[in-house]
Amino acid sequence: MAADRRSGSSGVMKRTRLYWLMFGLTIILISSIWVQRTYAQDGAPVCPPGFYWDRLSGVGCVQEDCFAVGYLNYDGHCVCLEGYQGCYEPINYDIGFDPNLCYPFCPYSKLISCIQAPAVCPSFAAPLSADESSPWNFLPPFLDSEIAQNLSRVFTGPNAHAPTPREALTGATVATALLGSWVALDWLRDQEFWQDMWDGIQDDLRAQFNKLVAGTKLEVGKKVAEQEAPKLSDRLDALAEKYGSAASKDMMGLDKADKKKDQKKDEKKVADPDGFDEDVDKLADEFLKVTDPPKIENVPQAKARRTVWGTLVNAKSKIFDGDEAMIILKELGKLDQNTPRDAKIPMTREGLDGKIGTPDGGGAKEIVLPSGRKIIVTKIEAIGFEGGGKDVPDGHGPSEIDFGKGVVITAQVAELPEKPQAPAPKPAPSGGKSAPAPSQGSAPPSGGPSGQPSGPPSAGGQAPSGGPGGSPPAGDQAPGPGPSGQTPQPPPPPADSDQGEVIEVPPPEGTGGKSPEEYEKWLNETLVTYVDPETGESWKMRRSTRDLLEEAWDLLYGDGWDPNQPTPPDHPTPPDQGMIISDEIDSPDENF
Amino acid sequence: MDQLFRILNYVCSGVALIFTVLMLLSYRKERPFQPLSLLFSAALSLIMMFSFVWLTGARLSIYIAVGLFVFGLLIGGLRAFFVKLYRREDRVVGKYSLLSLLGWGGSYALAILMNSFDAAVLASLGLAPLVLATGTQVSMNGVLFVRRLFVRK
Repeated sequence: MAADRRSGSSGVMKRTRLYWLMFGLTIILISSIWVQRTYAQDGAPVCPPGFYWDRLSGVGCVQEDCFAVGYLNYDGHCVCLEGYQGCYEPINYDIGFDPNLCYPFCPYSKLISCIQAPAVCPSFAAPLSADESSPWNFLPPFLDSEIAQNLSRVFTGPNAHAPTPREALTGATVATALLGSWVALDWLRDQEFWQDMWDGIQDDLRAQFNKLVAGTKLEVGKKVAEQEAPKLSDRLDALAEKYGSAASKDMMGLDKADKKKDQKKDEKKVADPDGFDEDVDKLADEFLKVTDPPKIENVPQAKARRTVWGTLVNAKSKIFDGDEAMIILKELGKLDQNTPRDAKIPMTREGLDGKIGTPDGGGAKEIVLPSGRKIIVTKIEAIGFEGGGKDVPDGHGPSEIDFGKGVVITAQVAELPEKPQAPAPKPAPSGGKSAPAPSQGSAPPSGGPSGQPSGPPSAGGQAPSGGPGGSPPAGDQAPGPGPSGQTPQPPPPPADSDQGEVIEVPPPEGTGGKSPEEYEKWLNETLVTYVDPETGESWKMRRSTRDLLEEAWDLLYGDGWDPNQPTPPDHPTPPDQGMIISDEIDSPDENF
Repeated sequence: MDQLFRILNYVCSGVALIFTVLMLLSYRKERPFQPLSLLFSAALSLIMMFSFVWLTGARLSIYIAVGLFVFGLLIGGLRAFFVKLYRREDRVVGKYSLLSLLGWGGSYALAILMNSFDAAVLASLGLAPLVLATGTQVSMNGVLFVRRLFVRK
């Protein structure tokens, strides 16, 4: 998204929508003002004979001889004293006076006398003016009282007058239109619209700022570094274009190719005649140099971020949150049962540490690399997150979120499993998937519950060890260490079958509001979408949430990693854990 | 013609009320808080109030208006501090105060209605809750905007 916005297409489109909206609102305002101006012209209206123009009065045209018969009330109407009834004579506009001159302040009637009951008005006079007798203008009688007039002076202040019907309608129209626009905008106020707008503005400001800085900065090296990244991205793009559709679909292809290289390093590289893997390795190293990942002491091979390329799960939907992850990890024996929330967790092989049990996380999200490629990553915040906020009693998480020095570990929580043969009619993907599960030919190769060869177990032709029905926990490969160096309990054998079965059901929605039975079912089953990076074929399978989390844990702690004795640099990064990058998710604000 | 205008004015008042109800329906669930939309809401509240006062010509004593507006700012600011902001699936969400929205939208319907009566005092009385509600809205959105800025992702 960021790359799209940098290219100017998406951001411009979104902003264009807002500009049109603003334009529409402005038109409404201007037209309303114009309507009002058409009748409130520069020259004062000309009142008919017997009336004079008073701009500050409510009526506009005030009766000249009013005090001869009555008095002028607060808004300039000529009325009788209390206890008297007014006799009004209608104004005849048919005798040589153009009503357009006084419009819209033309008086309808004139007070000619005040009488007391039982006297009656002259036959030519009406008790009330035509306007005042309108059923649409029912003024409360107390408004003419002295109290009301005093109240009016206090409330309205000087120069106040009652809005004319046209003025009132103009204001009402504008207010209603704006209110309606608000409601309409509110319906548009989805996350993407406003988020894109906000990001677009931030990008614009950032670009302006960078331009300003670049104009004054004389550090040549900085400029060189800034210029290298896009070049590299371009080269990655060009390579991907060159080497076929599998690689060009997404970066999973790179991972696949990398795995293939490790698997078949002693074999002839039939699928890689042009040395694609070597190019990718060089570029990846170059990429890392350019982005300059933070150095973490005592962990020589540490990287700030690690993304295991591959397919991920239920994009944009949460799989587990911090509390849920703690429950599962305790069940699996990865954590001691007494591990409290926010307990410090051991350092991962990437040199990341943090606290267990974050308020949120686990969602998978699509991000865009600088090259413009889209990948899907997930956060295992539940495992490595530092900071946190204040809990609130309603269990909704922190009321004030301050993730502080939050460490987001990204990793793939599900490797590409072998596609089940039955009952799915689709053919199984080829390449690197030749080894079936030990006991269940189509079982997805989730990480073993006890830290069996950790990382994506599908690589290297390894037999998938995890998952229900897989091998029992190996004693010499203890599970990831618990907090504070506590030895975790041996994990119980998985109870749920992780047998893949191609299904077509909607993914489960979150975890909120689930009954215990539903929650248990959710723990055991979550819908996972897998995509074969070679063929592009995708299918959905139910996976155990426990196994997904276990795989993630093994990615971080498995393979005999001891946080208390960091392995020297010769400790190899498990070859099947894919590329290591650090650039695109270094800035959580942009991507998460 | 004036009668027609008055009738239309009543209609506008009703429509404003309907819009208010729609807004309440829309806001009854928790919603993502985006900084830009909060700023936009605050600005639109102010623009609406000044437009309305300017176009209708209804006036409220400046002392009363300022007092009500400041009082509204206090109420809105206080209320905004009690709005819970929390993260949900990469979004900062919270539940807006329905009462303040009802007061704001309802005050417009009332002000429009009061302007129809051809009485300056009624028009002024109609403006009073509008100014108060606008102050509440501006303050609430402003405080939420600041709070939202400090919610790190």
